[in-house]
Amino acid sequence: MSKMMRFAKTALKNLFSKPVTTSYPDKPYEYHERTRGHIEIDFENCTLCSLCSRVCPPRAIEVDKRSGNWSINNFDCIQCGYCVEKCVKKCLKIVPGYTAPASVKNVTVLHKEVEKKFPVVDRELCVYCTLCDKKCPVQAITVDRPNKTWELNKQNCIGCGLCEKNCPKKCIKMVM
Amino acid sequence: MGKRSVIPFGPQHPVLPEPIHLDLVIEDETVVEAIPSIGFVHRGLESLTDKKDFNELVYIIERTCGICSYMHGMGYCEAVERVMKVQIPDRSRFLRTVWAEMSRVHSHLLWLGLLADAFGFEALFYQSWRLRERVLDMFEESTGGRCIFSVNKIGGQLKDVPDDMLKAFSVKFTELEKEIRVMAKTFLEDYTVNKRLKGVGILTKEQALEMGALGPFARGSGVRYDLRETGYAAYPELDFEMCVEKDGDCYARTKVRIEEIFQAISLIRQAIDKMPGGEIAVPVKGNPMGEYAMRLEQPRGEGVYYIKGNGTKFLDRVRLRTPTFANIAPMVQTLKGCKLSDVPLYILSIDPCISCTER
Repeated sequence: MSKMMRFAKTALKNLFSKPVTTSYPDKPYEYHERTRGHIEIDFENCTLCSLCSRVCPPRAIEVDKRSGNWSINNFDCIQCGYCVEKCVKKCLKIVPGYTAPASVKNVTVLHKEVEKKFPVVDRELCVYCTLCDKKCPVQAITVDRPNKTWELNKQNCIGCGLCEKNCPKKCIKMVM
Repeated sequence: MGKRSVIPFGPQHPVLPEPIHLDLVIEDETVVEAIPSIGFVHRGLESLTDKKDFNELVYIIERTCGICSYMHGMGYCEAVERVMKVQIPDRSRFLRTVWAEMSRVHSHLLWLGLLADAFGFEALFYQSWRLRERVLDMFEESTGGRCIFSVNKIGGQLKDVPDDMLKAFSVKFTELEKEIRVMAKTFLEDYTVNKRLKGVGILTKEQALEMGALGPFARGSGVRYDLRETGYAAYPELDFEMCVEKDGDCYARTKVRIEEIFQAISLIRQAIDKMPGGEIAVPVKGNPMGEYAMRLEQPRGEGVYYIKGNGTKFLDRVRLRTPTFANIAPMVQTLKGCKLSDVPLYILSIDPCISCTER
């Protein structure tokens, strides 16, 4: 008989204890601090460098530098946080709170006028270490160490500032 | 000899969490033959290798499945790290072990619930999933996700877990273990549950070896095969005993999985106690060049992650072989001669994950 009533104790305990579920949505869910809910952007610091859109696995983020638009489709976003990791200006962050369901899958578009900045090198300080060349995500910088040349392809440059950030001699400055 | 007829089973069936189709050839109520067909959730993840670079692929491979997602990401990262000859920091190795074993606990608790549901014990199903919920909460607290964690990267981890949070997890797992022990008694000792599980769906050791069964399915038939003994991540520094049962029936598989839950909790506690300090990731330079096949023990069995790099940021090939794919053939073998009403139970006893299988 005891073998047939193995679950009875648990069942009785559950019967007289508080429910383990919460009455959502009357009582909102308390997110943990690290919960990956959605992406937020500090748009003032954004330089529209488009690195986030280049690394986004589902291509949910789109950046159009000419029109000055930064957009995210929250329904395509998979909250992986790769853009947050790659953002040079650290203006992206992933915060708790999931995107609410909607019948129309809106795209959040932000707009601003940005004047493009390009890196300029101080050739007296530069040691032609080629670090800027290696770090450039679009291969816009070409450094030839033996011949001591530093060239920038302005058409390819996205103005992300990675070269400025990584320069050990601090001889690269981003200027308009 | 009775009249033979063919009954379609799945892809939509109340007991199946994921779509697999079986054509059951039955004679009266007895299954004579089962012909499986898959292809209902194929997403072409492997072909995304052409479009996403090897760093982005971590997030793609991780989304192969919602239950063993962490292990998929980990297997892929370990394969790339071996190709690129990257030595990840000790803390990262231990964190990977903790999260991998937490995944095992939550996967086995999920399976126990589904099994209880398959043999019609609804209250036990809810009990299992209630306990699983606490593991998911710990995942959310430490990684930010409940099923998809996105904490792996080539060269280590993206997120560190503070030591006080790890200690709190250790205490929570001790409490959880007590409750699982109470619940496990129902699975292992209850008269009606035993009647449903003992002596059914037998796969002998010879059949398991011949057909290449993997994971708890094979270990329930007495095959001593556990990839954790090969010593990836932090397993060489932790003590554990492989869980093996000899009977080869549904009961033996259940017992192996229940014992593995306790073993996983013990491994988590050991890893937390021995957790070294320091960095969680190392910078990785260059692109992968060469090939490697990484094998690791997922909750359902051996997972194989083959990668081939060509020196550019796009890999030549990524191939995943998941345990359910290998387990389908032995499962079909166990179905032969069973009653039609037992089919759901037999299928569930291999812990099928079809989205893993089809990728």
